[in-house]
Amino acid sequence: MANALELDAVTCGYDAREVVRGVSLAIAEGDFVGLAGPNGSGKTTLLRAASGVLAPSSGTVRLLGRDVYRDLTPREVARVLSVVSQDVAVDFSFTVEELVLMGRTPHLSRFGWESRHDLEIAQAAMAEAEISDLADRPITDVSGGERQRAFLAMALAQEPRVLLLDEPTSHLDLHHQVATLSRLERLNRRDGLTVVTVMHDLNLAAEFCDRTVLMNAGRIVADGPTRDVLTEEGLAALFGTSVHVTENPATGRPHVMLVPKRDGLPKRGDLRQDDGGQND
Amino acid sequence: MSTKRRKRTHTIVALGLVLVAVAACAVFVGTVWVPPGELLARGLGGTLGIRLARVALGIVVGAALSVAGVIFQAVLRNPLAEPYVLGVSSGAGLGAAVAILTGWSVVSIWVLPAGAFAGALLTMLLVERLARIGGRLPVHALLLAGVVVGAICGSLLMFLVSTASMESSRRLHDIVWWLLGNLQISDLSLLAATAGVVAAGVALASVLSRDLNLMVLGEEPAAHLGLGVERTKIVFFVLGSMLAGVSVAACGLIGFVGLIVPHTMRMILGPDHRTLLPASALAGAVFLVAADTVARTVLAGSGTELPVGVVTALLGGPFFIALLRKRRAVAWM
Repeated sequence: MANALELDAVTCGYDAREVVRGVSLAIAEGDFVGLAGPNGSGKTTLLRAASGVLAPSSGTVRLLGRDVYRDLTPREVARVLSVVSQDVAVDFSFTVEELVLMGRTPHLSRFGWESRHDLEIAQAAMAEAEISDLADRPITDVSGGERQRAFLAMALAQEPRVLLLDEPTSHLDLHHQVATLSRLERLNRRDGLTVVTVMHDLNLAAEFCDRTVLMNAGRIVADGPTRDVLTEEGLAALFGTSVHVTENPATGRPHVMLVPKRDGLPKRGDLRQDDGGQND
Repeated sequence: MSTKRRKRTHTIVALGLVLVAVAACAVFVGTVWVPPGELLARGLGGTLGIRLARVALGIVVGAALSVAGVIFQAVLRNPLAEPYVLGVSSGAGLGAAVAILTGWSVVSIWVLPAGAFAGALLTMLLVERLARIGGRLPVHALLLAGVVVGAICGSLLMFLVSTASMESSRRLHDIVWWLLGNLQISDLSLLAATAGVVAAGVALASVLSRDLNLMVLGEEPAAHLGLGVERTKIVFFVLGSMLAGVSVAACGLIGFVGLIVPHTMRMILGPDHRTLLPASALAGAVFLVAADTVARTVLAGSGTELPVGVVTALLGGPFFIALLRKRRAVAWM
């Protein structure tokens, strides 16, 4: 069986600046993969290359066995792969339902309108993303978190086999962080949806991703089962800060704890005593 | 959805009826009052023919400018974009003036509109290039670039006019009048050519209007939904410049139609371009015919008339400022 996504020695970037350097990565159908790394390490750019909107300067990207940039049209890509980008701003007051319905576009005939069937799919996607009650609200009027879930619903309405997400939980509160990732996990287990997501929060990655890929300076520095990748040494070297990795007692998954350096800082209590001394 | 599609049909039929009514009224109103019976009795050779041509041009150009506004607003993702504000109209004016002053415009009826179209398209591409900062098109950068490029085109136009020989400047005898925009047309073949281009352009834009819904989400989200973004952009830049260009060639610089009409329609009908675009075409026709009727009659007592561009600018300027202030309150980026 062909891999869902296969990047072979992909180098890409903007103008002369290379952001991703010779990355090779194979993602099997049904994988749930987290992509993590410091700011500017090339995670978003890698997603762009994988999603068909940023042609690599060298290397190939294959989607279900076919070259994204040579064998497939944008419409053909959009029928099997959808993307939830970070921070999409919309200035035009489409309702949430109209927006989600746009996810059906790659499946419509060139000049066709959405059918009742398309509307049903969009409504199911809105139910998945818990935004059914916002259906008639303008997208310009909802909160950042609600907008993020509306775009997730739009991506689900595309009925993809592969879903790419760029920090899908960055604007969400605790409930919706867990709810969104649980939903993706369910789609992944139940329907075999392949999920590749950039994760800012390593603990969410640890809970939900079977496999984690760590990037630094445009290259992959670690790739494997999440438990093997999220190590104290590896993370400390990658992020330049000490961490302590334990186990979440409730789930048995790795749990990353920050260990800030406070060497040489006076304790808060000491400061208060000093202040008191001066006032006297 | 069938309901949405039905709503679109109803809207278009209703606007079509309004247009017929407004156009009929406009034919019977003018600087000089001629009783309807007498007007009809004298036939097309008299005042009736002149007024019909004028109303027809109002319909054609009103539709063209509105649709150009809808297109530029969507493709540039900027609710304030409009041919006049973007400097595209000035660029078209410069192109038209070059066509006139070189004498090429007498060769064929198509040279003048083609020159205006070329000027419009080059201006549009230049403004877009100037305003692009790090792959984004900030609202204020686009407006500034449009104002500056428009001013430069305007100056070049004035330079051409003032240095032209007496004979060729006589070809531009009404240059100031033309710059202010008006719907008087003496050349019926130019009217026919303009009408043909606009009809084709509006029809094609209506057929492709779904793509504009995706474009307003941004280039990358649009691409993720399967749109060939670069090709779509080029098609719509050409269509928008063509509509604005031939309008300028036929009747000079008429500003703000592409701002007032699409915004009003968006408030009433929502932003779905499949309804918004054809509805704006009809509403733009209604608006410009009505504005021109005001322009023809408001000073009728003194036996003179205003250029219609003065009327649209007097309405459009405050409208633009109101939108700008509203935007600043929401998001200035």
